[in-house]
Parts: sequence; structure tokens; C-alpha cells
Amino acid sequence: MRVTLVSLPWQTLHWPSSAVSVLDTVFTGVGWEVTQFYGNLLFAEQLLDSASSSGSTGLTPDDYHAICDSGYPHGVGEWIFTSALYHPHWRVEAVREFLAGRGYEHLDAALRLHEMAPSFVDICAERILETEPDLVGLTSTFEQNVPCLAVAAALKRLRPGLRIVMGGANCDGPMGAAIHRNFPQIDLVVRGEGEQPVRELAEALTGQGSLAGVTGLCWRDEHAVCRENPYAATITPGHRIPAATMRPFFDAINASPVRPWVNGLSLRLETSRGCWWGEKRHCTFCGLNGGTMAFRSKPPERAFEEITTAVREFGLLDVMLSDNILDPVYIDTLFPRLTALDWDLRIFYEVKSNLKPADMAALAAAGVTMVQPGIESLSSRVLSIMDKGATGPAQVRSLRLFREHGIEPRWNYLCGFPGEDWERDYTPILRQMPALVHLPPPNGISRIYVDRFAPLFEDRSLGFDGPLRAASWYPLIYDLPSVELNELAYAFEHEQRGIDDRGEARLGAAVETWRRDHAASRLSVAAVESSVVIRDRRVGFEPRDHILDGVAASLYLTLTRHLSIPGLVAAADAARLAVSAGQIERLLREWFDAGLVFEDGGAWVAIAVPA
Amino acid sequence: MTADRRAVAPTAPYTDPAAVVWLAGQFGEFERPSRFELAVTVQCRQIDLFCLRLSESGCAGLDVRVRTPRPVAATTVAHLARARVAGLEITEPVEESCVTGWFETAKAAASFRLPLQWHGTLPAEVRRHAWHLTPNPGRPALLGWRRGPGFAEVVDQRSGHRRSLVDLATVTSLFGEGLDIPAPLSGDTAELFGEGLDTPAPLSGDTAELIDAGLAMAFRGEAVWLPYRLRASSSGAA
Repeated sequence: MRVTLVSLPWQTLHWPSSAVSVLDTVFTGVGWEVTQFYGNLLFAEQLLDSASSSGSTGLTPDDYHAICDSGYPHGVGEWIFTSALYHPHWRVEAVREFLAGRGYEHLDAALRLHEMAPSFVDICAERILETEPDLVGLTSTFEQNVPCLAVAAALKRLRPGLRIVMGGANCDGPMGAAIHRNFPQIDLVVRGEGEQPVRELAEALTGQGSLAGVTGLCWRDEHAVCRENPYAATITPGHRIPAATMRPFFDAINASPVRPWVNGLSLRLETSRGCWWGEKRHCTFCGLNGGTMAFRSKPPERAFEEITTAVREFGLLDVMLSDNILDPVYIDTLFPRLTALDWDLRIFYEVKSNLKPADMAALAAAGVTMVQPGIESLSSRVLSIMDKGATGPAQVRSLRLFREHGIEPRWNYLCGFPGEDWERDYTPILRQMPALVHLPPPNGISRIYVDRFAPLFEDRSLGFDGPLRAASWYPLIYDLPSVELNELAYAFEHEQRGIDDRGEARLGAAVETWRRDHAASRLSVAAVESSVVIRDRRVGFEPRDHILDGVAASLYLTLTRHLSIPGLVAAADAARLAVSAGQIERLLREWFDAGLVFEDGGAWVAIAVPA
Repeated sequence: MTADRRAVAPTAPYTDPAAVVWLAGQFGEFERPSRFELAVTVQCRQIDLFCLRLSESGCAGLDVRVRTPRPVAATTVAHLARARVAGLEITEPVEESCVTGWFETAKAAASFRLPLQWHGTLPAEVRRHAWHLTPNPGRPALLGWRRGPGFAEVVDQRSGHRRSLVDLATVTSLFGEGLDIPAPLSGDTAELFGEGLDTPAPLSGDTAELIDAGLAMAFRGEAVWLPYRLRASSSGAA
């Protein structure tokens, strides 16, 4: 049996599709012949062709990157392919107005890509059929639904009897059932993690079982009636998570004329699934793990082997890990081994923000240069509302430690949580933001959506207690009634909660100022004999050296940890420092006024970075 | 009261500057205008710099700038960078006689992001190979390499963006493990290059290919590997 696994726009061109490369290993393991088909690369190649043809569209692979990077919050990538799924110029005026209203900067490219999509889909379907598949597998995450549906429809037009299965994060839970119910070109939908259902499906399709026995599968019976097997999240244990088969992607990209447009080609690996923090306390806005929150990781030895084998095989030193959160076990196991190699790796991981200084040093030494630490906010109360398990001062401490260890944290300032208040939760933070200018700034701000599977979606008592509707781009894209859209959608909107638009704009402006002035700002601390010298060279502050002696010096260094005043008093007592609570409060106020400490919720932390 | 709740004294990573002061005093001229003046200048010979063992003591938060007469070895630059020295200055003019030494120092300084000051005039045929080590705002340039298993990834942004893989065993056999040692050119070739010509034609084998690719430069009978190592961290190993 032959299966062709298809990755379509808007999968990035910078690394292989995790789903395709992992399921290749699964299908191969049960004896199927597998072809990986990179339709996303084919689309970029078409853009390149069109740029050099006489009737040039003016589009290049850079436009592909631009839509990948910017489209998701507005549904742009999905709408582009509606010209192939429905008909050209699908709701074009409404979309133009919608995107213009949001100030979307790639509107013109989106309109031209929309015109190109039908011919691409036809060519893509023809090329897929050239692989002579018995089964075509389509994977959909973020903005890949409409491209998948359009290509599936084209495949059915060309070969009605071809069996097509769709899966991926967009098919988890009720979303997969809605896709199956509303789009007859999709014969089968796999929901949840694919390993077990795909093995069962492979058996069923070779007569060793029935479709009714495939875990969570949506399928049609002989009367074309939709059947939905009971949904049960299947959890692949860490040691059984398959290794990715990445060779087909790298062969394709390296042979492609688009290759010069792809800087920063990376390996795409996973060393774990699920979230150990989410198992304890689920961040209220996070819907990433669907029904599979349970944390599992590959044994460190295997993680090491997979990373090093891939680096050797593909000659790439950039490694993007898809893990939702770093397994702390790796800090003492995987990372020292990577460090000992003395390779110049650049690794990305998502991490919990409460890493210790020694943990950060271990990451940096191994080549972890970029992380996503889930900072989210600097307000303890807002962090508490979102059940983040961190305080504002703890997050600031993390930013300081990342700066100290040369690791770039990627983060967005989130707002729009039910119960947050401008005066209480944002005014004090914005007042202190200028002092934080030397620390890594947010990439921007985001008003939260209510994502399916997130506690805010599941538990209306958390504040989104009115009607939820599929995010505003869904009705522009799909020709479906709202009841079906609400089943198919991942992102939802609700009557605005939290700060108002004016507050959001003020927060955005403050963050932009932070981003603008960051590179030119320094605030360092050094101990000189029994004193502490804090050298202030921040934009917006008078250049100045603050000299702290004796007790003040010790107290400032103690605040490298975030502490409340009682905590600081206790620490001073333990160190037999002759200082009263009143004196401590006066010092803190003085440092606060000079922008040398951050305070929120009664806890304080030093913000100067060790020189 | 648990230990971790105790107030910390100014210790690691805030090491005692007295150690730095003492060591600096042992080996070179030491200038520190006042107690709270963070800028400290240590002037000494390369051999003494290594004895200074700053990487063990750290700089104690002081803004230590090291001045030394001649270009220094890559290992010394690594040593200073790990000690978080704020800058290195070559005090005597850089001239033709120390070009290969200057490349070694400059590449290591770029690799460890250690600010390097120097003065002098590089020969014209060298200058055109050294833009990436003498950056100026009007002409940003990057020519670096990253160590991988059996390969060196070379990133060349001197003109556009080019990425290539070079066999690590080949280049280390020529330029040493750190790719910072000049490779001797032999016989006629050396003589030819000694006249300041760097036409790759007379060369054969790997060195010629590297020169042809703009990754190495021939000068006075020696070939120099041009890219500096792109370390993810300035405190990286090796």
C-alpha cells in the first residue's frame, strides 16, 4: 500500500512538517510505502515562476513567508485558498474591508495570492496523483484547513475513488467531526495524536480490522452516512514517540529553486509532548494540548541521539524543538552532553520561566539561544488570573537572568483577561516599564482569543460567560452556518473583557517604546570590595553610577531573588544585618524611584544585570 | 532559617576585586583612578596575561581593559573573554610583520564579542580580506564559521548571503583545531605569494580551493583561514 503524506501552505518553508515526518515513520513501520509531498514548497516555487514570467504577479517566495508570519490572527492564509475551495473572489470585498480595518499590511499580496490559488491547487492535485497513492494524508495546523479542503476536492474531481484522510491539531475533538461532516471530499478524519489511530487505520485499510475500530476516527459507512467513533485521546508514551523522517523535506528544499529564499533552514524535532505544568495548573488561555496534556518525554539518551544524528545527517546546526515545555530532567542529562560536543548549535526550546541561574547557564552552554518562556504579563494579579503560577517580579527576574546568560526570550504581553483592571494591573506596570528598558522586551502585545480546549473556553465561570462565537474571520471564509462554524473553529471571540481599546493602545505604545530603546540601554551591577556599584546607562535616565555600601549593598544583592518586605527582613535578620523594616522600606522606595528595582504585589526584585 | 533565605554577601558572581587588583599589580602596570572607578586598565605582555588567570577570578565587576603591545593568541583572547574583560587593545602599530598574528587575535575577539582596539595599517592586499574584522557602519560584513560534526558551516554575508559546508578534517589539518593557525605554503608557491601576489592558480589542493572560494588568504608564504568562529555564547567552551 502506498500513502502520500501532504504538507500544504501555510507550513513554514524553514523546516519539515512534524506531522508528515513523524507519520512517515509510523506508516513505514507498518510496511507501507510512503511519499512525502511538500505542497507548500510547490506553492512557493509557483510564486517564483510567476515572478519571472511575462505576466508577472510581482509575488515572490518572500510573500509566502510574509503570510506565514502574519496571517493567522486574521485568517488570511485560509481565505487565500477559498478561491479554490469555493470560487474566485470569494467574499473579496468583505475580506478587503475586514483586513483593511485591522491595518493588515500584506493585503495586496493576499489578494493576488487568492487569484493564484485555484491553478496551484489543480497542479498540486495532479502532482499528488503522480505518486500513485492508495491513500492521501493531509495534515492541518493553524491555517491549513482550507488549503487541505481545496486540494482534497481537486483530488476527488480527478480520481473520485481515492481515499483521503485528514488529521492534525485542527482536527482534534469536535473540530475534526465538523470538518468531516461538512466536507464530503474528506473520507476520514483522525483526531488527536496520530500514532495509534494511524496504525489502526493502516490495518483496517489492509483488511485486518474495521474503520469502526479505529480510535476516534470519523468515517462514512456504505450509505455515505457519517460515523464518529468515540473520541478518546491516545497518549503515545515518551519512549515510543517516533523519530522524524526528515530526509524527503531536505532533499526537496535543497533541490528547489526556492532554496535561496529560505535563510535559516532548521531541523524540526520533538523531545516531548504535553505540558507538565499544565498537568498541575492549566494556564487559562492555553488550548495547545487539546486532549493530550499528559507530559511525556523521550529518554535523554534518545533525545541526544536524535539531535546529534540529525545534525550529522543534514549538516544543520539550527534545531527547533516543538516541545510545549522543556523537560527539566534534560538540564542535567541532555545539555551537558550537548555542551561537551563543542558544536556551535543554536537551539530553540519552550521553557517554564522559573529556571534557576544554573539552569540558564546549562542551556546557554549547550547552545540554547532562543526560548519561549511564557512570560505573558508582568502583573502578579493578571498572572494569577491566568493561573500562570508566576508573579510579576518572578517574570522580571527571569528576563534579567535571560539577559545575563545571553538567551533571547520570545514573549508577548497578553491582555484582555476577565477581571483585569487598568488602574490596578496596568498603570503600575506601565509606570515601571521605562526602568525595564535594558531587559528583553516583548515582541508585541496580544489581546487573547478564547481558544478551544483552554480553561477559558471550557469553564465559563472564569469570565467569558456570554455567547462565544467563532473568531470573526471564520464566517468570512467558510460557507457554513454558525452552529457548524462553532464546532469547526479553534479561536473564539467574546464580548471584550479586561482593559478597553484605549488601554490596549497605551500598553502597545509603551511596549513599542521599550522595543525601540532596548538596544541602547544598559543597567549593570558590580560589587566593588564591600560596595555595590550600579551603572545606569538606560535611555530615558540620566547616566549615573549608584554606589551602595554595607547593608544597602547586601540587601540589593539579596534582591537578585524576588522577595516581599517580610522576606527581605527575614533574610537580613538571618545574615545579622543591623537594619530595621522601616529602613528597608525607605531603601526600597529610594531604589524604586531611581528605577533600580521592580515591585508588584508587594514583592521586589533587583533589575540591574551583573556586569 | 534556611540557608537560601539568608541575605547574600557580595560574593560570586561578584568576586572580590582585591584579587584582580593584586594579580594585576603582580604582572603589569595597573591604573585605577579611584575606589569606585570601575574602569581598570591592565598593561602587560601576553605571557603575563595568561598568568593573570582572570578567568578564575573573574573581573569582580570591574570594567577591566587589557592593553598589550602585540597581537595575542586566540587562547589568550578566550581566556580574557571568559573573565568578562571589557576590552583588549593592541598598543603597538599593527604592520606587515604581524599580519597573521593580528588575524588570529581579531578573529578570536570577534568570536567572543570582545571589543578590540588597534591601530596601524594593514597592507592593501590584506585589507580587502579583512572587512569582516574591521567593520564599519557603512559596510557591515559577516564571514563566520560554526563547528559541526565533521563539517564547518561557513556563513558568508560579505556579498549577499551564502552558506556552505567545508570538510572539518581538511581545514583543521591546515589551520589547526581552532582554525586560527596559519598554514605554511610550500616551495614556489610560497615564493610567489611572498611577493604579495595571491593568485590562487599556482596552488593545488585544498588551500587553493579555499583561497579561490574567498575563505582563506595567502600572505608572505602562509595561508590564513578568514572566517571567525560564530559562537552561540561568548562563554562557549573551547
